[in-house]
Amino acid sequence: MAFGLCLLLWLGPAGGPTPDFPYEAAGLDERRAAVHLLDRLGYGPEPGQVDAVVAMGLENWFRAQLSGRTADPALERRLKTLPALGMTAEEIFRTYPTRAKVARLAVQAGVVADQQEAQDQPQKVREFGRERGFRSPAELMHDLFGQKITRAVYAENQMHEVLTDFWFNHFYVSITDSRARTFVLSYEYEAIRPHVLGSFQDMLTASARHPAMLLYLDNAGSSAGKEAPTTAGMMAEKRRGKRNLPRRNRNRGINENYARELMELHTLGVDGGYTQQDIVEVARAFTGWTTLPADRPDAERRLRRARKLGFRRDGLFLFRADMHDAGPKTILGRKFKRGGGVEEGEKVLAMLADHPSTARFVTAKFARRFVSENPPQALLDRLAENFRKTDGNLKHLLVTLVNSPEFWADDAVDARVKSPFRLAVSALRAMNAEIDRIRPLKQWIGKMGQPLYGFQAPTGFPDEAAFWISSGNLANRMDFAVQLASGKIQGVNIRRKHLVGSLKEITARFLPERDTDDLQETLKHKAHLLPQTEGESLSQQLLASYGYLDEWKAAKPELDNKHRHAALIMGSPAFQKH
Amino acid sequence: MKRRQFLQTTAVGLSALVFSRAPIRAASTAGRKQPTLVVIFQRGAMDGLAAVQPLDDDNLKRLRPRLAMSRKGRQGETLLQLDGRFGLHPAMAPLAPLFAQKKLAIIHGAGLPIAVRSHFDAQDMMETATPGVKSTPTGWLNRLLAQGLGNGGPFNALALSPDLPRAFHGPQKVLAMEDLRDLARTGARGGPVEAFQALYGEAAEELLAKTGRESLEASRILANLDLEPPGGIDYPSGAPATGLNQVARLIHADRDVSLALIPSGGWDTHINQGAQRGAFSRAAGNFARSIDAFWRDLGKKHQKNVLVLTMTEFGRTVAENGTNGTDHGRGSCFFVLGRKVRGGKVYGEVPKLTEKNLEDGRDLPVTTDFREVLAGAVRDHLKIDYDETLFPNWQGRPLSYLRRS
Repeated sequence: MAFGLCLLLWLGPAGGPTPDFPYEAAGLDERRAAVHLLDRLGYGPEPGQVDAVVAMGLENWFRAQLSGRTADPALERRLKTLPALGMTAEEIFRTYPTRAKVARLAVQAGVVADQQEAQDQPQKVREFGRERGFRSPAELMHDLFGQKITRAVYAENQMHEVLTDFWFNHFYVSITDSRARTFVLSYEYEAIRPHVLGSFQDMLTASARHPAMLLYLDNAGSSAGKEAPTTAGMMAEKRRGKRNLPRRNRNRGINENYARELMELHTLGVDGGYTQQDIVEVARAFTGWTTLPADRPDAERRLRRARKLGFRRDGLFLFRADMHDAGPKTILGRKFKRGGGVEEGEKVLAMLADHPSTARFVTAKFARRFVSENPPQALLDRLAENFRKTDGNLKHLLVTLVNSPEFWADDAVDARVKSPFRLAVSALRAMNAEIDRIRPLKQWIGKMGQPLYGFQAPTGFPDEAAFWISSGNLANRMDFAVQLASGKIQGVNIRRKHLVGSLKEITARFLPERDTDDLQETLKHKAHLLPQTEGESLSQQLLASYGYLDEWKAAKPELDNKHRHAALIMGSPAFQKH
Repeated sequence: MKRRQFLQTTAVGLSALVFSRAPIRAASTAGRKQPTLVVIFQRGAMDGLAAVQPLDDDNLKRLRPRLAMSRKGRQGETLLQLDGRFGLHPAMAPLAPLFAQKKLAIIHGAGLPIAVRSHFDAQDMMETATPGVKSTPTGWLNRLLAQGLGNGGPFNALALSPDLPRAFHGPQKVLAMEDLRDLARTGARGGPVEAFQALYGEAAEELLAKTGRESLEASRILANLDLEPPGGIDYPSGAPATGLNQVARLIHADRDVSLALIPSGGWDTHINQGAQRGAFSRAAGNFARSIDAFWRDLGKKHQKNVLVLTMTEFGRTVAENGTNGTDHGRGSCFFVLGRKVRGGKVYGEVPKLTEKNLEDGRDLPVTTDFREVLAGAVRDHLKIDYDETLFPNWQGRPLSYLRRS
């Protein structure tokens, strides 16, 4: 109770009491703490940002981020160039049909005689598509990658981006699934982004109902078995008596995929205390949760009629009562009576969101992301407790985390290895880079081991150093640093004017400078990543490694030392961590 | 190692690298040579019935009026005789002599034991080797490494693909790269590599320091290898040939390679699959020429240590569809090539293709669990006495297609 009150005050409008973050007790000075904050709850500092955060106060920065209300007209301007961003799932579905679908429509319209001709005369099909106002699926993917990179690099509300990335990866869907692909962008915007500082259960429910998830984990095709009673059948029986029943149950049976991953990955965790029988029963509860066939012109009319039989529709979510298994069920010990409908799945989601295993599983993953791969037990207990007490309020979870001494502890600072995406984004931010083209960056991030939205499995990217760091892609990271600093990545500009300022900051942070007199500040903040050799100062050691700069200079005279210097920093082991 | 000593060593190493193009010999492991398993994953689902077609089954011609081929060609379509029961697609002709020499065997009707017809799910389940379970965190090849395979050298486990394939997910170290020439280019950059080497040599953080050193080591080794195919060996372009050639280059340079996973594409033949000519023929020709080139490239000396195993996530519908192609089916065929293969034989079962014999009335049924094929290679080629963690919850037995001596 007292805690809740504190939190309320803390979250109150600016000017209210603001407890200090416990970083001094952990031995961090304010500047270092600001770097840590920007590294963890953002994608790393831009030139000048550490000073700005120190000036405004770390707590105030966090509070502004929490409100998410920092105006960001520059970002809005950049995002305007990505047309898919303003569209709903349904609009995207209509605007970006697959090639096969355009070919089908072209045959229907008589533009080509048959599929064979569509295949042989692709320009006819393309022309037809343009006339209809269609855009290609590749353009949709471009906007998907574009918004992710653009937001991460330029958003003022950095925390929102970091959280969206985390929760998307938790409730993961993938563009490797050809049916789900069309809906991945709208999934992020409709199911994940609005809830990252809201309620866990709301996000869980939004993900469960979104076409991306329904298709990716196959629930869209999951139905009652041949022998099972269906909701629609029972409703019809009630309304009309035994006579005149709807045609026989043509359903083919359940698909357990979603039910399994819902419990294993989204809520309880693999050891969360459920059985194979629970998986079957949960799958039965979700039978009929499917997507609206949005390109069927008569869908609306048929649905109006079907409402009386228990059908429900909300956007592209469709509950098909004629596919729902209306038999009795027992899920995690709780009984569900015969004759249930769409509310069964909703109850299951509520039960799972409320389960103590979920609180433990979800908050432990949160702590691993934002603290370290092996967070202290005391922190895990505190976060799980908080999650349960607040019914999965994700804003409270974050506030509790940042006010925990473990978040600022010595073994948490720089404890995480950057993902390739984070590496690229943090480098672009540190260099004040101007991005004109998305594709080359997207390809580089993939080459370093993270094909954006392209991980196959529903686990999402395993967010572990051992997964990210392999010899092939670590070499690619170094190569990326060299290419970026030398201005060789197409569509990315690093202006010389900015380079000087950027270098000043990252040098002060990562390496001492030996080329220009005003950058003699020695390495301050990453010192612990390098061993101390007896009798030699850290800066001497690093200067020794700089001996190689001369060779590099000879090999690539067109670059000046500032570029080389920047490349070395961004490819260094210290820069791979945050 | 003291830092100064390290820097001196690298400086000496550098001049050696600059002035000599001679291949650096790997520290040879005493005793027998490390066996190599090369897995080619045909992503997109190869039509096993087009690759290796039953000869005397009229059902096939009935269900595939445009796609089925015959023994003696109308319009010059000629299947290559295999064992009297099956004919090989003519585009796969380079494989026919290997079959005749009994080095190549075919396992027909292989696939997942459960009906999964999504590329994504089926590949996933094959690569984790856990049919029906999507969320298995590790891949079977990574678990195989954990059974103590190889010496942990920089090229011990290779994935010649842009990102780490699911089969290799897990804690064991794998070098994943679509084209090793990228890594070689990094190695050839000279100045930056030396500078990074110094930085990573000094990093206190173990994983980064170790991997950084390894990757720079690998890149320097590669920078000094000629990664182009030798004259006289005509590898086709693209995958899987690029990867196979690079594996051969490493083997010839006496670098230990225990596992290599290489993708092959072009198999999702929904449209214009064709018979003699068409999408299938293109993919099949590229596939067969790549394997044949690799095998000749290895030569007698290295063939004895290498087994090539091909797999695909499922087969395709027995009946052709409306667009001169086939849709997602169930059983397909795998190829195994090696000196100890009891080849010249088609393993597995292909029943008469009547509706009642087909799975769900439409597909070639899976009669051999893919794990039997994998387990055979692990036991009899890699000589790994694997435990139950390799194929969790599976009680099946390895298929014996290799001489065990």
